[in-house]
Amino acid sequence: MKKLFVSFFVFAFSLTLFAQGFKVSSSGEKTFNFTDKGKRNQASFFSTTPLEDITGLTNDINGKVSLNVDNIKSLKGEISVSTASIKTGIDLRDEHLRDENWLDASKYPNIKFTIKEVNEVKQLADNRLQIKFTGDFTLKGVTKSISGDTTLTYLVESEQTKQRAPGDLLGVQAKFKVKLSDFGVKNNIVGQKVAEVVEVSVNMVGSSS
Amino acid sequence: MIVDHRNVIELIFKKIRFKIVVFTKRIINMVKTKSNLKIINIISALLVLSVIVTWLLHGAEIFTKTKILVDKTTELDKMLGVKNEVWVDKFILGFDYSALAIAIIILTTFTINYYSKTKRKES
Repeated sequence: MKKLFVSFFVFAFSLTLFAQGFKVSSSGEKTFNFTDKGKRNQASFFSTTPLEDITGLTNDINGKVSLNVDNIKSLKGEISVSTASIKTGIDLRDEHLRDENWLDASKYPNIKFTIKEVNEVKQLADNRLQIKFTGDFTLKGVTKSISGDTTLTYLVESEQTKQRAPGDLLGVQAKFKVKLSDFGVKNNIVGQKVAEVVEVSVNMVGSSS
Repeated sequence: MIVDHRNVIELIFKKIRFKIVVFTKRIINMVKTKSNLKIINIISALLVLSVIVTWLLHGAEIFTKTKILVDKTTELDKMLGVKNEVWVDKFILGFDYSALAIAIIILTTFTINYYSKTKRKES
């Protein structure tokens, strides 16, 4: 019986030792909603070519992410972006971006990312973690597994955080690369060459309320 | 005191108006005195130069833009480790429109020069 207790405590201790998460006053399972009425959340793509650098950005982000505050490996969720809302700074180019030769916004209104797995965790601060993740990225109806890096910042509800949204806040800054040809996207818009591989960045804040 | 300031502003405006009138009259006189082609060529060169300078001042972009990204990151955003950029309406002259404008100026100047010389020969 004593051995059983000892082994149970050793097992429990090893679990707390290896489970990496936020060291904040909140704990347990939390779900964060990334639909921001203020449209401050954003997803962007960056393409660099000798001819021109192109940045496409949208503030139309929706989705929910759930995690155990004490164990980040439990991170799961789906984020979607409205295809038609992506803007590049040139109206004509935006139109071409939406048409069927490129992202085909009418047929594929959303670009989705589903978090599948957290591979590596690095604790940057008590409320900040850097992780490597793997997930399913769906663009133009094609779904492929993609890996990337993200920094997660947890802020427990305070008077300052209430300015943004009620509840605890989770800041997400993620980056990953997307090879356009993998998703059946032709890499030219009105004769302008777009990079074959574009970098996708996400800057968003979710609230647990 | 307010009346004095108004008088000064009125005087400045009068001087500017006078200089513009004098400059315009000089150009009209030069045009009348057969040096009109030279004037047109100088004006065209100045226009081309101003287009190039505007294009360079706008960042020498290749394509004309109607929106630019402006950083609106707040202190709370920084605490959350995110940045916030928004599209703001702003016209940025690119090489495409600059080249078109320069081409139109050069073509117009060339056409005026050609017709003026042909008219002179005929007369």
